[in-house]
Amino acid sequence: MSAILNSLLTVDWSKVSAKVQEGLRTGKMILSSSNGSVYWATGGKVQDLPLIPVNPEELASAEQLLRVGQAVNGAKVAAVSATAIGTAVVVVAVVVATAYLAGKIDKVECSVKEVAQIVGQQDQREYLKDVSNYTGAIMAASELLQSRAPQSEIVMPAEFRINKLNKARHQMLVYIQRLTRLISSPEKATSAQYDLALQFMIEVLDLMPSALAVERELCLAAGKPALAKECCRGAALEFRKALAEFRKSCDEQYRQLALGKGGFPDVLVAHRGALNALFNSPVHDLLLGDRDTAFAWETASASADPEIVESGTTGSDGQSRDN
Amino acid sequence: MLKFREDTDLSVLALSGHKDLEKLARVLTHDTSDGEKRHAQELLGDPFYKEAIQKGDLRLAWKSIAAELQAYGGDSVINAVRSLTKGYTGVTYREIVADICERLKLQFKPGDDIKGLEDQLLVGLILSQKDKFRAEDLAKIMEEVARGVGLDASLQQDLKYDELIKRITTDAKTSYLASLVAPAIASAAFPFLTGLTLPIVLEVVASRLSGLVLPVVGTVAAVASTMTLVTSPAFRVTLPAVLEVIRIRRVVLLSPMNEGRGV
Repeated sequence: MSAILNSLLTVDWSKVSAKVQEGLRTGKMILSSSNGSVYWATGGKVQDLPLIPVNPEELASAEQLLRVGQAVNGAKVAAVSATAIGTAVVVVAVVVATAYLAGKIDKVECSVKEVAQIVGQQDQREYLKDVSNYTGAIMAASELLQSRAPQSEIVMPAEFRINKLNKARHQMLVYIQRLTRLISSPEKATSAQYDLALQFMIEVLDLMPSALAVERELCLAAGKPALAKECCRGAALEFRKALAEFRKSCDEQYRQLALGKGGFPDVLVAHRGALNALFNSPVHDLLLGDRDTAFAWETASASADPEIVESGTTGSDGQSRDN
Repeated sequence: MLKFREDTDLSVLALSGHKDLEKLARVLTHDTSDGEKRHAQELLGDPFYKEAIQKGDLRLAWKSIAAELQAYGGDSVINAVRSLTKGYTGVTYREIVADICERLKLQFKPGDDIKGLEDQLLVGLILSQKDKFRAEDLAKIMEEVARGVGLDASLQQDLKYDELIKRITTDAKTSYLASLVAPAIASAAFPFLTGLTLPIVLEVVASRLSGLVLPVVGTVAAVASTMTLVTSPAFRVTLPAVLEVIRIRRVVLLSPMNEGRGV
């Protein structure tokens, strides 16, 4: 944990001016969790917020939250959710800057390899290529964000990666819809195919909220706060729709099994814990929710010192002079 | 070792919980009326079952439990010697349910899906005791049982026989309540069913039955009194076991996947 602690920073809310806190609270400003910069919602940087190392308690809460994924029980979810808002910044920072994301991508790539072994159709192989494109784009975006290069150097490559990531995400969602339809008709698949398809869907859908957090941070790094907001809202909506369809499909299969109408009971039961964790993930809510509202809540509850003057480059008109 | 015959109608057992499977296993291995171990049972010696018991999770052995039920569904003569017959597999669950309906002289549509077939068995068992329970008695029993399991808010008041029969097939909660009430009601004719239902159900039914001396003409009880076939050893296992499966199916249907019928 100490290695992560040394590299992870979070905002020192006690030194953030009332004006910035108000801006975040009202949605006029947006905070980047990966570098602590605040942007005007309409474009332009406000300032870099003061950062301090994440304290062990905050990191422990964030890690606990991120670890929740297997066999979640109601009490645990409730306990974790209670800490979610307070650790929002840390959680996103952990997602973007640590092995957490790489671990999720590894799982998806392992699933892709297994699925590829049983897929014969050319169009299915093309889709699998799209999955690899998507995971590659996420990793490239994450590496760029971690480089901590000056914004002037980041803008160009970030714009390029945003386009790539956006396109790959759309292709991914199409593939997810296709797979959901395939899983909805288990009679068309063998037990092994059904098992792999379920496993793959769980891994991909679990990765996507983290990928969207990275995409949002990338938009902010490229100086595109409006696009970042759209990423939070529009893309999150599409993801939630895809997840809801998958959930509906799983619930229906569960019902059909209970009614004695075919399917693979052992396979569905074997994945039930992971499916329930996916459908009830508090991390997803945190990553997909309106994070600015969460930050606003956090800033409101922090004991800010109104006497501290903004130390950034914001002028008296409130607009950034960075650009 | 018990051999499970592929049977999608019993897949519901894979979705159920440890406690429900424990009850079903108890019915299959012990006589509910005297608690004695059944002579023909093989489940207690099954390696998968023993391992699951050690781990405290019978969901791991749902196929062994299902196989034991299938084996009882065979002819009673075969049951007597089935342990000597290598690789013996029993009959499908559908055949067992249909066999029970036939033995009880219940009218049923064999082409219906398994839940439909089970509903017909529940309806038949409840109607068979119509002479012992007036409509208001039945409504009262349903209400009190619903209250006992926390479903009173969803139950229609003054449920008459005809309405109950109709709702069993269309409403999951009524169907579940009927699966609790039917064995208790039918236990008037088949005492070996008394161990099946919740204490509260039995208590309610017993209070309605006390002091009643009623004719049994045309009822299941009448059939039971005249046909030794109905009370054959295998039937004394399959009827309560099927009623347990019926209850389990309705519990599963009422519980969304995310409730996870845990240990």
